[in-house]
Amino acid sequence: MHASVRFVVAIVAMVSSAAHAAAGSQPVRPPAGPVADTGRFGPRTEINAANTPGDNDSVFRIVSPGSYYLAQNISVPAGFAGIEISSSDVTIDLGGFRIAGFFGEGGVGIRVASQQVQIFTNIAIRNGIIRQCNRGIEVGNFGVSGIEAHNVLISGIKMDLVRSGVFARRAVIEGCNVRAREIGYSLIESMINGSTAVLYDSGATSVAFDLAQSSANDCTAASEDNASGSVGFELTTSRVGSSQAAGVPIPFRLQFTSLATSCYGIPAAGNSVSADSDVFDSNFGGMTP
Amino acid sequence: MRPIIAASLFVVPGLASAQNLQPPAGVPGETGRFGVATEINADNTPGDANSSFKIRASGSYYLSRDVLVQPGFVGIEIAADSVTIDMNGYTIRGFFGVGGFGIAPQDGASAQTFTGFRLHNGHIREVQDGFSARRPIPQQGETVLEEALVEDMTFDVTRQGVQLDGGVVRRCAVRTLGDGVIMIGGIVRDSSVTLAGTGRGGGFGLSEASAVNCIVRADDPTDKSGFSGLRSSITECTAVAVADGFVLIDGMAARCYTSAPNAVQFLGQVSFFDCNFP
Repeated sequence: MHASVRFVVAIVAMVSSAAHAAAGSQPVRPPAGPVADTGRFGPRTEINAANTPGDNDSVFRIVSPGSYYLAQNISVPAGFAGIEISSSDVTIDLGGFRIAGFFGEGGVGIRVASQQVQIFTNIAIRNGIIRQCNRGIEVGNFGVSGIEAHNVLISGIKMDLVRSGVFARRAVIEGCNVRAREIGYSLIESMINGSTAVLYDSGATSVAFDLAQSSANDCTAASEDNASGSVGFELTTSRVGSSQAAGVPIPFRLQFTSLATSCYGIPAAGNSVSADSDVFDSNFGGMTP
Repeated sequence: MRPIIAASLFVVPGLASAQNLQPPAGVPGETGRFGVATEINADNTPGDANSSFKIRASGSYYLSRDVLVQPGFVGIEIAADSVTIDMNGYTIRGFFGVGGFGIAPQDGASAQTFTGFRLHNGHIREVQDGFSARRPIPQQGETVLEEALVEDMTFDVTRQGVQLDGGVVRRCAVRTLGDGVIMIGGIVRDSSVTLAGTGRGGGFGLSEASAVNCIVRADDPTDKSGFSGLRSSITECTAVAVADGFVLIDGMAARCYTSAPNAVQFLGQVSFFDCNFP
């Protein structure tokens, strides 16, 4: 019996085993004494020189599990990372603050790093701005260094004037906006929802969404300069749904058994769909694979 | 006629905005946005014989530090209706390979059902089961957290990531040596499962439930399955690097994709729409 069939049987077995006050209309009567912590601004750890000192290639470095937040903007010198993560089980709330490099001089907004080959897990990064960096968020190196983070949540990050936005593997990304010169998002075995990538000053190898064994939903790719050869969605063994690419010479390129549903990709002439890929309910300018 | 009606919809609010504000008489009501929450600690939520902390009253709770789960214990036990936990970015952590639950309903003398549970914003790792809505009570049945909401969480566990009895799972990332997300009723969406290790494992198991926009992948595809559904609907989901992609007994799959060698297996009345199952 296949593992999956056993899985279904197990579910079937599980199935078979198987006062609100009207406060809204009341006057406010605060309790006596000091106001208690609501948790929203709970006792997390501030990212600063005292709590999270950097090293020779990072402004700040997180080496212990915990919940961290920014309380100020960060400047990133060339060759440095604004925040380096060297631990599993880390949540970073950027608190709406900004990590900024010096345009054209390199630097990474947030990355995972270690002295040895290691895979960290359970990382969450939320709510902030990264700009003028070589790379915005680098939590997957795709085996080059062997140092990666898996099981990553990235949400509500805006990246502007970066060479590349997000490099991730086994991540869930939601509500991010990237304005990048080369690559918006480069994802392996990941999922991205409700996000945008705009290519500026791009070249023939620029890609807004570069997906391998990944999925994208409700995403938008665009180009400011419509550079010849740049791609909106590049899919390798991946799925894209309810997304659009406009003003990009090659809006969609599907290869190695990929799937696009309910997508919009103009100009039609630029789309490329391999024979083993499928397109349904989409407007690729009358193109039928 | 229609343009006139449409235009009037814009005009009327415009007129209203030009008038003086007339706040209602009396004291403003509580909005709840800045309400008082309770810290989960030994004073406010003491544990019992098999839990690190136990929540016994309805309310809004938060973590201000990591929680350590002793072998066989539950990190946070729930014994009340209408409980919300903001994990505030912290972690519930067990000892790898020695059991334990992250969050689960209490085990008591008799089976009970609690409703209105909500969990968000944290990590659970190295326990046997991350979040389990069911807890067996010997010879009494089960205690159940019914229709719970679990969101913005990561799980890294040894047996089972999330198991819900109705309710909603969204924006969760699960890494497991066993099974990822099991839904008995309810819906899971915008979530991912990584099947780690070399043993048997299943990504999403659905019984009369829905999965929307989810993804499964495995470290080693051998004996790993992506989505298994019994009278369930699976929409815009992806299974890669697994042996079995989609297994359905009655139900449907729409706009789904897999690269699995055994792309689809089905029994009963099953419909497929706009899928790419190579």
